[in-house]
Amino acid sequence: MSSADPLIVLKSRPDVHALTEALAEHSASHRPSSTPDPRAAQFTQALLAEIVPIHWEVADDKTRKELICALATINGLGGCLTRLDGLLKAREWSQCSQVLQILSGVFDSFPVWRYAEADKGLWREYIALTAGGRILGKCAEVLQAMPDAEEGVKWLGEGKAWACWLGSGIAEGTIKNELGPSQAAGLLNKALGLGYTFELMDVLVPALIPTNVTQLCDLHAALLLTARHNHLHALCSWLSRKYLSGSSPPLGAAAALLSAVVSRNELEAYILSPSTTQSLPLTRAALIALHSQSPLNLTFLNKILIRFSDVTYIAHAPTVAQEALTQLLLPTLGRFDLPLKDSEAQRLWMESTSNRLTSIGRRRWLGMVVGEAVDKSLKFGVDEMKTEEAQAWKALVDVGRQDGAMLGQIEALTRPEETKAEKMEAKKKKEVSFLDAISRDPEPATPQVVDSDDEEEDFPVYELPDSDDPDSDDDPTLINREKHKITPPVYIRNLLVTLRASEPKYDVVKLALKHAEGLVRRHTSFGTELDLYGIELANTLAGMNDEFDMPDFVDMKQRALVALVVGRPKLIGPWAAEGVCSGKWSLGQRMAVLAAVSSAAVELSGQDLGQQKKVEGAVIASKLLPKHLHAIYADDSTTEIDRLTRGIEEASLKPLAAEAVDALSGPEALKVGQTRRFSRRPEVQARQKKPEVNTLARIAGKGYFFPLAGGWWMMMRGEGVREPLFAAQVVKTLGIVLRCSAPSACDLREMTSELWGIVFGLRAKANGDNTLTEALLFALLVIFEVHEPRRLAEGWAKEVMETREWVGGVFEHMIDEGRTKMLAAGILLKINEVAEKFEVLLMGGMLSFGEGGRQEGLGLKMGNLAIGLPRR
Amino acid sequence: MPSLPPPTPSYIFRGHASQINTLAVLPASEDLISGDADGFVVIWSLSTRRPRAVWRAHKEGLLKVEGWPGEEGKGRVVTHGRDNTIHVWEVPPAPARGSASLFLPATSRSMESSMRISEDEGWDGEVKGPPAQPLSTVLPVDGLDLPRPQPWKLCTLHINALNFCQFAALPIHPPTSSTLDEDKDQPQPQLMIATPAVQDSDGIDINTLPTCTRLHTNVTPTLSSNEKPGMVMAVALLAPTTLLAGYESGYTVVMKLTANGTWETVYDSKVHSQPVLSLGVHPSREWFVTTAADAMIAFHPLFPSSSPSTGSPTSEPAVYNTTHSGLQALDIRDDGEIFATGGWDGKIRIWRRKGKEPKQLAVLKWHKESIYAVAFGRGGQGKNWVGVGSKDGKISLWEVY
Repeated sequence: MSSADPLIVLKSRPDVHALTEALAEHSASHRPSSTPDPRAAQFTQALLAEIVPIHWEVADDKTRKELICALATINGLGGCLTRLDGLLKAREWSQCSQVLQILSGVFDSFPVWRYAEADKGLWREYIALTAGGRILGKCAEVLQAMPDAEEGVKWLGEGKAWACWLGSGIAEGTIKNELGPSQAAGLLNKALGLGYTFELMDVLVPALIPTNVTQLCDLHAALLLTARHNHLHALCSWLSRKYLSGSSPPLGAAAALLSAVVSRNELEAYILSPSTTQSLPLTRAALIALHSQSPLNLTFLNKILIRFSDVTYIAHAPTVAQEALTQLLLPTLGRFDLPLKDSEAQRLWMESTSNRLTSIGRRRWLGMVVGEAVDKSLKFGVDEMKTEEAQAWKALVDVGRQDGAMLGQIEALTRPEETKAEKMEAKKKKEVSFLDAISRDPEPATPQVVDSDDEEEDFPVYELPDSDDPDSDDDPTLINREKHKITPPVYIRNLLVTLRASEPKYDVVKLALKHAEGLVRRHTSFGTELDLYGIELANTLAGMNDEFDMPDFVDMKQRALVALVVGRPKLIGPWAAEGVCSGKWSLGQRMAVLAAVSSAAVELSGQDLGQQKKVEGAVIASKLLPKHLHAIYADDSTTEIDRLTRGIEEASLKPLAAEAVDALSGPEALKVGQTRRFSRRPEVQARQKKPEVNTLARIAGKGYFFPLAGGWWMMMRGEGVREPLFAAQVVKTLGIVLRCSAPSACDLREMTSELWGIVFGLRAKANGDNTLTEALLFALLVIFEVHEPRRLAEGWAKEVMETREWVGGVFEHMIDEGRTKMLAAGILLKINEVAEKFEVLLMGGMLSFGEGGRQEGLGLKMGNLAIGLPRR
Repeated sequence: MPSLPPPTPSYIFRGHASQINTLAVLPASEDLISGDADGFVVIWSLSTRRPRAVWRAHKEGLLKVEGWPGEEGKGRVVTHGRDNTIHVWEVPPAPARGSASLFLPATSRSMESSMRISEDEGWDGEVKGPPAQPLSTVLPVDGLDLPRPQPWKLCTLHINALNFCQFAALPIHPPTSSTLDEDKDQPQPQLMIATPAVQDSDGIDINTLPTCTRLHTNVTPTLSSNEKPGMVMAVALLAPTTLLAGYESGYTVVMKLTANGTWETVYDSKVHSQPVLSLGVHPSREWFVTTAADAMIAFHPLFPSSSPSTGSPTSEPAVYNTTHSGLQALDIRDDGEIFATGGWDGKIRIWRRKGKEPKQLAVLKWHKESIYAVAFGRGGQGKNWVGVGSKDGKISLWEVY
């Protein structure tokens, strides 16, 4: 067994004796710092995974030591770390505890330098594991998660303990010359990065002073440049915290240590660095150290003065840093003849004083302190300069002068207990040390502030509530206190109540109207309120009068109506038809509802939103008409309704007419004063080809068209239609609905027939009435627009011919009616198109009606439409 | 300067069914008393935050309630209603802890001989003797017409309540009052009450309670500008011989009783452009404050050294524009350090006057409707509070300063 491969032994579940032998065998062939080989790695792995869990708990101290010894290699440590990681994930706390005990054992038993002879790579690995904090981090993680860790291993997770361990290791190794300066520096460098620099320094430096100061110096010199700065900072912080905070700090000793460890240039650079904010005693010690090597020169002073006078620095550097700079400047000045003789320094001092005088608060005060300290004849004569604090600050110049260049004995630093006691004593006595005298807080200096403080304590000022605006009007009789209480309605019911109020208030109604559209639209797909109150709301809206002469009244009302028609077409469509045709309403109301239906149809047909805005705007609000159109129509439109209908007409008719006229572009006479129509054509076409889902198509017939058309017929049959304007509106609305629902509407055919019928029925009435004629022409144009020529020829041959006849007549008798003429021309053009292509079909259709007389000239005149058609 | 976050109310008393017109602190107790526009008076216990007593004191809305410390242990409340009456009620002090309501005294001092019991016929529920049943604690919101017994009514004074002007009271202790009081054999404490005159709303009547004797009738000022002052809007009695009054026209007047029994106007000032709404005297008696329907707070000097006609600068009022008009409610804390205004903007503002201009210390914002009443109270351990009554029928309690 004794000669057996230790790895095989480990894997074969050895007893304690076999294990001991195998471990001995292994350690004989492996040095702790030897380069890892696969077998060693396997051995470590086997040891940790198979032996430790079984044997550790029951092993005696000797075996444990052997185990620790076997794992006390750099590989072993790495293995432990990996194992710990795995165990942590598996939450195997008992095994975690074993590994922690092993690690603790390794670090307790073996000093840092045990691995120093390893090659560079391994040494670096070791540094990373220990000083780099890898083991610390993992152990801390495990200990954090572990429910009950042993006291003995807890230090593994504590940074401070690690800092102490490393510090003492470095110190001891350095003293014993086990660690070379570069190796120690490597450790120190990483150890400084652990973050516990005070603890580290507290172990390291006292161990090396006073006898081994040179080694500390070497160690410092061996550090990398950045690490050197860190080290110096750590050293200075340690010094000032440990020794220089008492009442009589050993400044000379600290200066001696600094000058012994750090080179002059380095110290100077450190003390001048803007990021340095050291305590006053340390600054003084550093100055002593600097001065002792060679007297402070003007360059050094000027460097401080430049920063002190820098406007940006004055304005933006933290007050603490500015105070620290002043504490550096004043003792430095003490080492020069005052007032300053050197012209450059003189200039800088002047500049700093004037720059600081223009700033505020503490910054200004510091400038005055320096000013008065440098030139005794300079007196600012303000109260702030007469305080004890200011005197103490100014005395810093003398302090610097007295400090001089007296280096002390470093040994003075080796009595930490004493200084500690002193410090306690100093604290107890509340003896005013210099720093205490220089209070950082300028507030209690002035008695007025104290007074107002008292006042504030009794009667503190509360912040104002979120809104505390002054009154809207200076005149108390004009302030309206109600308005902020009005909230827009959030339910249709509320809206109804508001709009129907027997004593409406301007603000309330206005707000309700303003939000009506949004409210209705929100409820379109939410709740049943719209189903319940839709009709009622529509009635209310349609019946509303502009009692308050509200701006945008019609616009707001109309928008709400449109939203309503869009939201519940099946509900509101029949209602609109009934209302419009029953004669219950005034002409204005009918017009408004018809306009709403038209707008809703346009919207439902799914036009692009941007375009829709434009179109809808034109449809609804005359104010939104394009300027040039508005200029034309605003003159001859007297009422809002009138303008609205013009708007509708314009939006729907213009593209068609423009296209028609464009197609005919030849004769100049047919152009009607519109100069921009050519440029509009692409736009018009783009608008017509819209691929959006046409919601209207599904409901156009049942929702809008047939109720309206049906109502219309009832009306015609009953009382007849007295107002051509109204008739024109109905026809136009029907035209728009048809146009918007095309081409996908399922009952397009029926709608077309119906519309044709209505148009023909009104021909006689339209005679001599331009408005109605125009409306009829518009409807006809829509019909020709929405149907393919072939379909027209097949389905409505008779109507087509009849249309041609009537439109031709209209066209011929037209005297000077631009728009109408344009429409007529457009229709004739369409008919021409149909006739050219489907002459036979048309003829067939006509012949089937058996009326021969009228058609004889048809074929002959077909190409000659512009001249006119034969009259009967 | 570090400042505290905006204050929030520490408690809201809900229970009035209509707007709170007046609010007061009962002397020597931790009780708040409020009166609403329906004529109800509620005494709220500040320790339990529950009503201790609820009764309908007037047939119409309350104008003012005020505590009047009676003889030992006997709390009295003076209520002023729009039904043209002022009643004095006797309410026992706060009962022992745990008892929720007030029990009326089993035995009562015989006051009938010295006081004129109201002849008010239609006034139901007139208690002719000390009732045995406890006072109701059912709040007005729980039913206006529920039967609620009234406490023992000491006396009733008929006045003119047309103006919305709250009465002004001045307690007179028997030795000092003897010169004014006809009833010399009555050793009881008296209360001088100044109200708008019965004859004319422009004048002021001064009566004493509980004897209901009229001392002065229709006192009117003589303004230096010879204008008519209009209706009396606010009065204050500084001494039996000194009367302060604010008028509809915006005038503020100080009148003194001369030796020959006529009232002389010693100070008049028109700093307000709108009717004066409230008037408060600083405890130091060096100045008094008026607020009006406009946005101004006016500080008037008291006892100006020279007569107003000479226009001495010390007698000029100091005016501060709060930019929040309609400062209806006003109260000055008893130590004179701070005062509060409550306005139609629904906010209460706490002020401290040092020097000429007041400094706004805090804005108490919770009520969304106008503030009609504000009262300072003192709690134990420096826990002082401000009570605020609003048009919304709620009383908010703020623990500030």
